[in-house]
Amino acid sequence: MRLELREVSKRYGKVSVVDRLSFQVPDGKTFALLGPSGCGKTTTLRVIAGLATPDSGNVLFDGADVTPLRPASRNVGMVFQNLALFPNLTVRENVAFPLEARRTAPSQVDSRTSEVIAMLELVELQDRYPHQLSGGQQQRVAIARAISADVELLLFDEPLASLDPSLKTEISEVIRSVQRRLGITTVYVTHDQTEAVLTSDLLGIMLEGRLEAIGETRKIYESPPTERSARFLGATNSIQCTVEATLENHIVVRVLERSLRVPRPRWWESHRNTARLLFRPEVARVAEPDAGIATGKLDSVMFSGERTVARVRTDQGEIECKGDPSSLFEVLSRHVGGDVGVRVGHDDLIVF
Amino acid sequence: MKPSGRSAIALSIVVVLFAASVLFLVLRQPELENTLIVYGPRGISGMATALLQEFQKRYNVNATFIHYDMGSIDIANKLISEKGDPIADVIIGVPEFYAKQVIDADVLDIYTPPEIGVIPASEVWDNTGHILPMDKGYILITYNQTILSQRGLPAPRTLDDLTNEQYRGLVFYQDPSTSGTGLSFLLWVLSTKGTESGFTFLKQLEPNVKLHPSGWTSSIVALQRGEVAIGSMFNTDVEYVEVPKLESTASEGFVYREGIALVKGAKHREIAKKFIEFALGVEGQDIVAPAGYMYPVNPDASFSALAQAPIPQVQVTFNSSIAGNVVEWLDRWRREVKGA
Amino acid sequence: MATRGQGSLVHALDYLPLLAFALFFYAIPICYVLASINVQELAGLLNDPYVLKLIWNTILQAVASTIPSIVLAIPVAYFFANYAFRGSKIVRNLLLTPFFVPAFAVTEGMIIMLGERGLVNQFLELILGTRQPVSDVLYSVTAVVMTHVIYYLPLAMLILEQGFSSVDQDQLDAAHVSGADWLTTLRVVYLSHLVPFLAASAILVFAFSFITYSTPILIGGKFTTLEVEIYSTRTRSVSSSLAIIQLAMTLAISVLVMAFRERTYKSSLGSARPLSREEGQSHTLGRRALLVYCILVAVIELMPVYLVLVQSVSQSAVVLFPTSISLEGFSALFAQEFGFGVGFIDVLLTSLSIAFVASLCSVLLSILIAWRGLQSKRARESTGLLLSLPLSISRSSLALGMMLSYGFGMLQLYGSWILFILGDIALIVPLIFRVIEASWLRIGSEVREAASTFGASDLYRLFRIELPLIAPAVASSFMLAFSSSISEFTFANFFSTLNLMTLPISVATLLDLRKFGPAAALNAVIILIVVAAEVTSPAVSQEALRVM
Repeated sequence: MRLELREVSKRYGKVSVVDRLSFQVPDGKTFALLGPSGCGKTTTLRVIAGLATPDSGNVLFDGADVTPLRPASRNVGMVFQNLALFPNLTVRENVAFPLEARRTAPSQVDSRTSEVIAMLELVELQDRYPHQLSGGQQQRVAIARAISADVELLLFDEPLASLDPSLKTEISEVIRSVQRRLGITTVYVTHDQTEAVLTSDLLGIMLEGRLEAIGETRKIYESPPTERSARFLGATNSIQCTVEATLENHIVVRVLERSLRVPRPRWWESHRNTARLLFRPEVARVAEPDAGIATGKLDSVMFSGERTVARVRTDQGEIECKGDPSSLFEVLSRHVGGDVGVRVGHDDLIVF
Repeated sequence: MKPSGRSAIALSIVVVLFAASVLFLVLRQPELENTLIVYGPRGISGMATALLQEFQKRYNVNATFIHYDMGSIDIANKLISEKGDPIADVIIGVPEFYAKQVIDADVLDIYTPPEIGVIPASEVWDNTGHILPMDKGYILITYNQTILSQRGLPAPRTLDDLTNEQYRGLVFYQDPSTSGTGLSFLLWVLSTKGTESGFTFLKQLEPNVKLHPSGWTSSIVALQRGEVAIGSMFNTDVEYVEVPKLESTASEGFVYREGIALVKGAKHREIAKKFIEFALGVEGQDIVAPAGYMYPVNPDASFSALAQAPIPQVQVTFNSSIAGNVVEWLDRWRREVKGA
Repeated sequence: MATRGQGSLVHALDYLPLLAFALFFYAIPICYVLASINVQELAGLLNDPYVLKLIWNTILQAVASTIPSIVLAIPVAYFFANYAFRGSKIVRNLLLTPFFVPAFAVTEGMIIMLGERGLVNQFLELILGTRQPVSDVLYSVTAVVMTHVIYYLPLAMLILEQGFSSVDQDQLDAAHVSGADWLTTLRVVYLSHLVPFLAASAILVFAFSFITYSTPILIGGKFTTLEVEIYSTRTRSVSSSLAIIQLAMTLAISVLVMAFRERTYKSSLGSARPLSREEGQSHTLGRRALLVYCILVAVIELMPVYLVLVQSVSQSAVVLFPTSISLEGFSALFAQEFGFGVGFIDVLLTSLSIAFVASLCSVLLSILIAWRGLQSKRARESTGLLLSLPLSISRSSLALGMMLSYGFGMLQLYGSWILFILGDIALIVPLIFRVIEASWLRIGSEVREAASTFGASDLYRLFRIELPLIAPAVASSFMLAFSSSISEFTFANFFSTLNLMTLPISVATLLDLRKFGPAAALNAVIILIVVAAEVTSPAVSQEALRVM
């Protein structure tokens, strides 16, 4: 089913929570809506589900306007942030609920419920009640319930937000396997960029009620179209540079008396003289003082499991480096207080 | 058992009980269509019930007594408010002192039953013929001799004695707004002393008054509990209430007279007339004493049941020439005497 | 949440059950009463010093009733919130007895306790060796206030308990860990959280005390209130004018109630970690003192009712423990005829049937109102406001109104059991709605939205999800309704006929017939039925009488 939102707006009081939002999700694709808390992404999801009425704009399923329809008539499956499992029903009854509520024939209810329960590995738990399950098990029930009826659209509202890291991995695996098997159009809302990138084909970054960026996940991730979205996607380091030349696919910039070629974004205007270079901490490594794109004092070095996290203070501010492995922790620690450089791969630089 | 099984059973029990309850209530539902409706004050429900029961049996009709928990004045007012489309067919317990108001409101019909010939003229207090006399009683100052002896106090002889300081906190009389007995006491005072002096007297008396019971029942309870020792009661209470043992000087008392009348526009006019005849005839009047502890007006009726009760030597009747009207006095009493 | 255009229609329909209820059970009867208002008279009343004094009296005793009720209830609420023990739920229910038995049963008990020859005086005479009665508190405003405290302390306790048990455990732990003494903890953690609950319980007790009338009549002596005056003049137009004044004042109170309501509701649901209860023995001096205090309160609460029960089986009128048990009153009761061929069993079955039918109807109606009236935030607020009003409306005016409108006016129901049911429903629904509402709201909007999203119609969701989840609250509100109906006296007074009467009316009839023994026995029967309902009712705990 192809989902489309056209100029959807929603206000609560004087605050415009969703502002003329428009996007399309092709059939079978997963769209991740990424944004900080309060940006309007949950509201958008609720509008799609029919739980909130937009002040203007339309929601279309396969070109048909569903905006006037009640949630029950929209044929969507939803996994709620707080799961919202029915406390008085067993696992099996919870999963069967969407089928029974839509008056499916009992034999079909039975077979489909068993199928989904098996798919989500809930067979031994099916006669238990939600309060008797662990967090991860409850999550699986919520997912099972969302897919049991023959839905056209799947909505996830921050499904991993309340889980421990180990469970996060496990459940996101479950979600991806379900997506692969069923191929239902999906909208996935989260504030975690790793999660968003992991699960989606299309990525939209929502800030203050508007879509800051939207496109294929990989493209957006590697070349965020705006500085804000770049920052939101983790490119929190930035340095100034001058523009030497603009080529067809690259731009030549000058930083620290060195010239670099960086990928040219599509919107680049040729007449620009200066630019900002943004990059993620994960691609920055500590180097010799004059090797790299920045130089400064090594403020601190921390051990964080797999990586070493170093902070370098330059005259343009602080640069966080997470590119060095933990094996270098000892070596780098000895250099704290000294002058160092920051090295970043040219292709990892995002220019604005 | 699965929860759905349990709830099914619970639900069935509820449904069965509901059906049973409704069935029970419907089956014992009396029909008021052909029922004689008699209005009257709460205070005489004992007598009214007994009368109507006997009447029902004798004439094989349905009848009911409605009091709305009201005193004689209030129920009369209720009847007046229904003018033109009355609910009641007959009203009983219309007190002598409110007769004028009811008659003036033109809600009664004149009916002169044959039995009236037997009733002595002295008992007939409504000359317009609207309200027929039915029964009477005597209000006296009564007292609990045991308590007075315990405290070494003399028995009160007159109304004025009651204001004596030694009786502080021991006196009571019923709230005239709700009790015919209390209202009788009020009118006794006003009839003998006049309106202004009467209210002055009551204000003087008030510090001695412990409480104003809402009716006869609460008076008896207060007396039994020893909360109060001296107050206005019926002469029959002296003889026929066992606990506590009440005495009375019986030198002076107030004659409380009440009557029965046909309501104008009554829906069951013929049965109503029958009831009035019954109430004034020997059969009905025979019930007055044992059931109501009041005196019948029909000389052929028996009141041997009340033979022992002291009759006051001086009998004060309602002085209809007192300026003013009962409702005003009640308001005034509440404001100046009780609420002060 | 349908279409934008249809949305407003659907939302308007949500108010329908509530409005229908308000219209049928309140607006129409009251209109019949107000029809006789004389505006000049009303203006005159407002300048009348007697009336102003009445109003002042009424406010004064209401305030005097409220403060002790709240203050004395606080430690008990704390106790129930923090300590669980076997049977605590039953004990909590039993404490509601004074509220649910007829007022005349409690005042009867108060008279036995406080009268000149009452228990307290006997006790004092014994100790102090005097011959004369010492305590002269009966038949005064003091007695009225004391009786009110006994009626309403349990109500205040239930509300405050919810406040105490919704305090954030984490905050308490933080206070303990930083070394705060109990006074500081009280001030910093408890006080700000409890303010809405304190206000809610205060306003409620005030409202109930404000419209009291049988208590002043029975043991107030010369002290009188506005409602008593309304009752005394109820066949005259001045009564309607007074009722308007009273209604205006209680309307103001209800608006205040509403102002605090949302705060209370939010405050109690937002706790990070629910209070953990400590089971088992109390082992510090403070806890022991608290326990003793609570036992004392329970004893005083139940004393009047207990004394009435004792009186029914004992020969002498005023005793603490019956020296000899006599069931004479009961046997006379069974043989008694009340009206036209109506015996005791008849009256008992009538009362039970009426109570059952009225309770069931009230519960169903409350569920219907909740189902539609709690759909949106705005609907919730108006529902709450509208249903607060009845708590403070002059009962005698309403009873009179129902009599006029449905007894003889539009429906000609006088003499029919249906009229009793209507009266009961009018009184019960506002009360039990709170219980059902609290439970209903706890389901949480996400669960409801989930049901809708998964294809459930409102009706399907009601039966599959919402009703099963509020089942305990439904059961306990049924029991509350049942108790209320059994004891209901005001309306029954108006509606009873010689063929149709309920238990409380029969008590009054027996007293009229001078049958004191059977009257006492009947009082005892009513009390026992109420107690039975309380004991069998499931946990009237978190959801209980959440009258805010």
